[in-house]
Amino acid sequence: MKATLALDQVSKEFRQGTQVVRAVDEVSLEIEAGEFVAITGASGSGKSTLLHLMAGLETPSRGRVLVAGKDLATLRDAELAALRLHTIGFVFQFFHLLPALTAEENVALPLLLAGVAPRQAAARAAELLAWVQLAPRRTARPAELSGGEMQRVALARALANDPAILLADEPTGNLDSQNGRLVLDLLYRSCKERGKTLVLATHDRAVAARADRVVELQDGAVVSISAAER
Amino acid sequence: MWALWRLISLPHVRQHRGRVVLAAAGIALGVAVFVAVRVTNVSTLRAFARTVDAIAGRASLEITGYGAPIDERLLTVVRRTPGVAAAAPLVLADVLVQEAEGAPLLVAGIDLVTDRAVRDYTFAWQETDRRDPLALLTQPDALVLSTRFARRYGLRLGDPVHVHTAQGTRRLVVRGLLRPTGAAEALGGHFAVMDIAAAQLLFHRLGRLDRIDVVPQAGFPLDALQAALQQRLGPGVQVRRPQARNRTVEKMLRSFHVNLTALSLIALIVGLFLIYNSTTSAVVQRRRELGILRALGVARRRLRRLILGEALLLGAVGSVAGVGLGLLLARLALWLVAPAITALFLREHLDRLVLTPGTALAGVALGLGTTLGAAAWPVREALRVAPLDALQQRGVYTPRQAPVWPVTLVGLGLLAAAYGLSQLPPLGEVALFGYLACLALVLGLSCLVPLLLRALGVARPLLLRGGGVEGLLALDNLRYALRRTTVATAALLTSFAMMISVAIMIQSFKRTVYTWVEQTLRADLLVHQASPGGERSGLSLPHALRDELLRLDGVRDVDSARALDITYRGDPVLLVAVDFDVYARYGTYPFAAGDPQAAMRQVLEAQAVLVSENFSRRYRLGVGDTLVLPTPRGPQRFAIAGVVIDYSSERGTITMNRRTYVAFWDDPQVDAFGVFVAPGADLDEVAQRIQRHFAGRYPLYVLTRGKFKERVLELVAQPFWVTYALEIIAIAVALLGVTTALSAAILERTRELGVLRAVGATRQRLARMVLLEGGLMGVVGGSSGLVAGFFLALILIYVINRQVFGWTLQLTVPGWFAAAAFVLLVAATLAASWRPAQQAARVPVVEAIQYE
Ligand SMILES: Nc1ncnc2c1ncn2[C@@H]1O[C@H](COP(=O)(O)OP(=O)(O)OP(=O)(O)O)[C@@H](O)[C@H]1O
Ligand SMILES: [Mg+2]
Repeated sequence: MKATLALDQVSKEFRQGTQVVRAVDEVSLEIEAGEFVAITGASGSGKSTLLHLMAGLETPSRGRVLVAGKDLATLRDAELAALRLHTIGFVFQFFHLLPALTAEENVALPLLLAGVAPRQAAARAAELLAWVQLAPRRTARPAELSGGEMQRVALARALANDPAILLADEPTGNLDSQNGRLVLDLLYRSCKERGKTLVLATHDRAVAARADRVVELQDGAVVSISAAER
Repeated sequence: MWALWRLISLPHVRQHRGRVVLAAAGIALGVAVFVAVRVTNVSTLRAFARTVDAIAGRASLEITGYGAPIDERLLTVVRRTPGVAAAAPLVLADVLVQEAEGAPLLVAGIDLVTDRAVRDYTFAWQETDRRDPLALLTQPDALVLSTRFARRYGLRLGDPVHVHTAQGTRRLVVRGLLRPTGAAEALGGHFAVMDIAAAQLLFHRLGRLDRIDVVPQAGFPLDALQAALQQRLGPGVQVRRPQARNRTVEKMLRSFHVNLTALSLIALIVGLFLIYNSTTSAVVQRRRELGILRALGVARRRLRRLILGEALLLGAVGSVAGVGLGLLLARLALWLVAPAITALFLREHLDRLVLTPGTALAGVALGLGTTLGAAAWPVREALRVAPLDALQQRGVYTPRQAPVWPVTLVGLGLLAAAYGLSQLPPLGEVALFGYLACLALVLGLSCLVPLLLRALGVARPLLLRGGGVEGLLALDNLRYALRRTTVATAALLTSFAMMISVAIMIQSFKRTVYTWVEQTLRADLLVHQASPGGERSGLSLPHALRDELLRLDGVRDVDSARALDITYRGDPVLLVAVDFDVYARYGTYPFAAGDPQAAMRQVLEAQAVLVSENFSRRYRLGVGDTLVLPTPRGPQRFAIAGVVIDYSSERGTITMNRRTYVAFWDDPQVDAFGVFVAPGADLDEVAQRIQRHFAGRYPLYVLTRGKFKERVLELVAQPFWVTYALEIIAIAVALLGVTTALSAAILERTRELGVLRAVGATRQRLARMVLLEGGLMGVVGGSSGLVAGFFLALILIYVINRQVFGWTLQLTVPGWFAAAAFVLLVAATLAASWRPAQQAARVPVVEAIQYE
């Protein structure tokens, strides 16, 4: 099966004054469709940067990032935006919902951006909210939601355009264990029931334990790739 | 404190230079207008006073007729009065000098022997003329120019000059020059002397004088002398101090600053809004810092002082800049208003603007007061929050929508207050409550902006359909940053309302005056004296020319008009004398009170006058009342036969028959003739015939009625030009306010913008969203500005102008102008949003989303 997400000797360096920080160091990785890969490592090991590279939010200093066979470096801004809109869903550690919009509108946002008619968008958003068990909170605004609820809304938003790939950066990092488990379950089900490719960055071993593969980073470099010990 | 300033204030100021400068500019604008109005006034008055003083010399009293020359035999009476050390006769005339590009010149006919007791002259002679200068000067064509004038226009001793006078064109010779001291300095050197006998001949003043200047004996009580002279000379002349004239000029200038004062207050509101926004941003963006400082134990009081100090510094810079800008504006204003005042002294003193410490201080105080008022609220709000909350504050977007009803109630209250204030009578002669009503109106409507923006919610589906998600997001951004949006929008509203109200006022003025001219102007051709440049000059013409005009082919009838500034109850008013017998045959006045036919007959046959509506209103006089006017024949009673609509003077107009006028004023001159052309005769041909007939003697400027009406409209609009400069600056500042408000919002929304990009929005869409935000502000600010402008115009027209001038103007709304201005405003707002839009498009995504 062809890799849906591939990194080919990707490095990312940040210049800070005269100092050069190598956040990602020659990482090569192939991720199959429907696979659940956890990225682990200490703080500052490069997890977030790696996800950003996959989403085309950062451009690699060296190497290539291929999403669905396309080299991100060859895409223009509009094409990258379209990729993020249709192919990739992103879930952030800090939820990042738009505070002015209701839960439903937040979920509908990517649909509307994609040009879906408002009524259909609302229907689909309601459906997704129901799936993340938030049907009653449709009209609540982010500030009226708990952290766990916000993250579920964020997940629904990530799923809105039915992307092939889900990228989640510490999605449970800001939640208590119970809410964290709920979110993780939903992510897991997105992957296994809906066939999404899931790449999840976490420093929580218990979270990583549910992945098909665990990639461990240290100072930006891959130190081990292993099937999770279940 | 200093440490806080260096660590907290300076970096912030440095980082937000643009916004800081803009807020200062807002204050500067308001202060500038205020200062400009005052400076213009003071400068004009000082220029006038300087001229009065220069010509008066050592004289402490002057004797003049009431708008007419006085008998020269009075000179003997004056000289014999105890307490008089010296008395110098004067004949004064304005002329235009052909060889000096038509420059105006005040010619004083003086008695060369006695005048030195009053004024100092230093003659500059050429060697050859040394023998007997006085003999030369008493030649009838001898003119002595100030050296300055001669040098400016390249005139030399012995040069002949042609002068246009009210009595025709004459040839004189430059026989002497005056060094620039004493009287020669008057009018910036546009001053000349000649022998008094020659002047009497030249200006048709045989046996008469325009003025006698009196130098009292040292130590003699002036009041007693004044009283004694007045008693001996009788009621037909007035004895006064030369400086008494300054007061009259002061009153005449009022028309100019009445409307500008209202506008300067409104301009200050724009400044107020900008300071408010800048202070809000300053505290919002440093909420965390402030919270940390307070958690560390810095007292709230110190922080308040710090931030208010920042704002005050800003206000101070703006105020000082405003004083400078005010001087510039004043120059522009003087330049524009000078032709309307037609006074020689003004043109020559344009570059001598007088900024009194009082004006500067008042301007700065106004600026600082506005700043404090604007900054106090956001600072209070910011510091009221508990330190921990400030620390945890997640962003500026409060989830809860702040209720709009309190501010809406305040707004409605202000509108009610505006209405109430507009119903109050003026305070003295100042329409104080009218000005306050303007302020209340603009502030009140500004308070309704939040409601309007909130109400835009109903447009959500529409925006979603028309503008896509961007439209929706733009709307939400506006509604959630309600306060900042409101204030920037209110600044737009205010500045736009200013423009609209002035446009309505000009249009109303034009329409009203046009209608009036249309109704009252019956003659086909208007004949004035021409200047050497071929323009209309201010010189009068002898009434005797009427008979010559009547004899010309194609002329059916001729009437005339003479306008004279006289004083009524100490105020300057306009006296107009018209050939009623002719005029009544062709038309009538629009009457506000009185029976037209009876009134016209009464004016024709008895000692009766028509007064203008504004005169009637100001002095509470109506049909049947009598006026007592000072005339050269002493005080005279005139019956008021009717009240007519008349826009000749904002100070009030009295119209009488020429025969009545001549009987008391004995004035042979007129300002213009009206020529009624025989049926079938060609207008242009008759006009040319008139000009040809008087060629060489009187250069004439002949206008058809149609052309004249156009000229009148130009004159009406002229004093308002300066306000356009003002309005455009105000709108520009308000637009920059939109730019900074959006920029500040983008800074605060960086994360959301990043998220939008991360979930798939392109740069263009973010840019479009910001443009839509700006556009919506333009639409809301513009449309509410239209409403505000309309009501502002109502107050200006029906309250302020009515109270100060007694005008009744027909409200006329320039619809197309308003529509075009609205479209332009929205377009300009979009343009003003361009940079913030680019800024939004460039938001660094990863940085924006990475951290909380
Ligand atoms: N924009 C940037 N400029 C400079 N250095 C950066 C930038 N972004 C990341 N880095 C550096 O790159 C390294 C990797 O950072 P990254 O955020 O990817 O780590 P992480 O594994 O996600 O850490 P954490 O678990 O704390 O989220 C760190 O040393 C970080 O300081
Ligand atoms: Mg990270």
